[in-house]
Amino acid sequence: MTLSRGLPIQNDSDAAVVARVLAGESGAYAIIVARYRAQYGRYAVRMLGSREDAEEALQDAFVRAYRSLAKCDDPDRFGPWFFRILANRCRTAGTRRSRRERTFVSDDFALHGASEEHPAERAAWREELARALQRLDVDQREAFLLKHVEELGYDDMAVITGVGVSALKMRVKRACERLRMLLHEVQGG
Amino acid sequence: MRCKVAEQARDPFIEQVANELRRPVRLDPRFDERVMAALDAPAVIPLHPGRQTRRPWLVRTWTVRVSPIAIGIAAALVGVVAIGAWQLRPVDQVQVAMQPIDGGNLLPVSNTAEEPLVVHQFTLYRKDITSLALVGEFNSWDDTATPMTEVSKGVWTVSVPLRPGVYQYQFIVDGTKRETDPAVPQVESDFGSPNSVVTISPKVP
Repeated sequence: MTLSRGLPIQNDSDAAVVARVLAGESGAYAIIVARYRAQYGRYAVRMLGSREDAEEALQDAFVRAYRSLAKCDDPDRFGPWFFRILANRCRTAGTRRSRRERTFVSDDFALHGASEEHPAERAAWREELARALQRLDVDQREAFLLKHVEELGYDDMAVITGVGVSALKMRVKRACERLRMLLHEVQGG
Repeated sequence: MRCKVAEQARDPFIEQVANELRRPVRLDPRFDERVMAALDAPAVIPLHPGRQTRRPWLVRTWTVRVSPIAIGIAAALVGVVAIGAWQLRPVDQVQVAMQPIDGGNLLPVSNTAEEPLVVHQFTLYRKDITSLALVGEFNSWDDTATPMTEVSKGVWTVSVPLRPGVYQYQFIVDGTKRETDPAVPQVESDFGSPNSVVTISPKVP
């Protein structure tokens, strides 16, 4: 199959690419993968706290979306449709993972460009933040990421999660409180 | 879809946390390649094959210790049951002249090729429509694979040979609108839409 490298990621609309895939040009799906890999990969890594788990969930979501592409009623909004699938996969993986003991691997959160003035302090802060995030309940972590990191409105969050707006607001509020408490403890405040 | 959170002043601490979490992450450089390879695979190719995962008990390897006497007794019992079943087989048992609709990769894992087919009749009562089709895990959700027939006014039906298992399905009304079966339980699909669920039990001799 054709890989995403070199494909015109920006030129075709999602609907046009989806139409090509449904017409039998399965290699065009690589455009979709390349288009959404980074944004949704970030969400998966933040949700699951591990690059390996995140890549598995992301791959699973892309494959499921591909096999159900004909059910995407509005191909121009492939992104939100796909995000719902991914959120489901991450929730399932997160719930399953939280049942077993797990050691956080700080490298999973090692990010690009550690060029800050105090790289050691910065790295420690990132590690503590990542650890605190993983200590949130799956529901709270999901709501926090959707609201504050992905910057979605509550109506969109409700569509993705299938949870009511008021419940989501409560989850976000509790997630913020807990993060504040966990990170405040770390900073010795 | 994206909504800059402007409706309320953001907490500086939460904003600092969010900014950190918005930074890009690294994925495997071969991620796209693996996804594209997985599209044609019967199951998702594991990205990290070296990782230890616990296998479901149905496919896990079991160690069973049995004495030779027990094996002899078990063999005799199997022989008696097999002869009895042969003699008592129903005359109208469905012969597998029909090809089973098993949905390829989507066939539930509980099914095995050895289990006999069971013909299940799907029925929906819907007036004032022009076409109805059945889609589900058994036909890869192909809305052209299993059209239904209006056998009397408003009564649409189709009979499908299935192997025992649990299947999700929907109806396609007039080629576009998806509906669930009001007569059976529903589950939420990965895509948020409700699917009907039918359980096909093994045929009783």
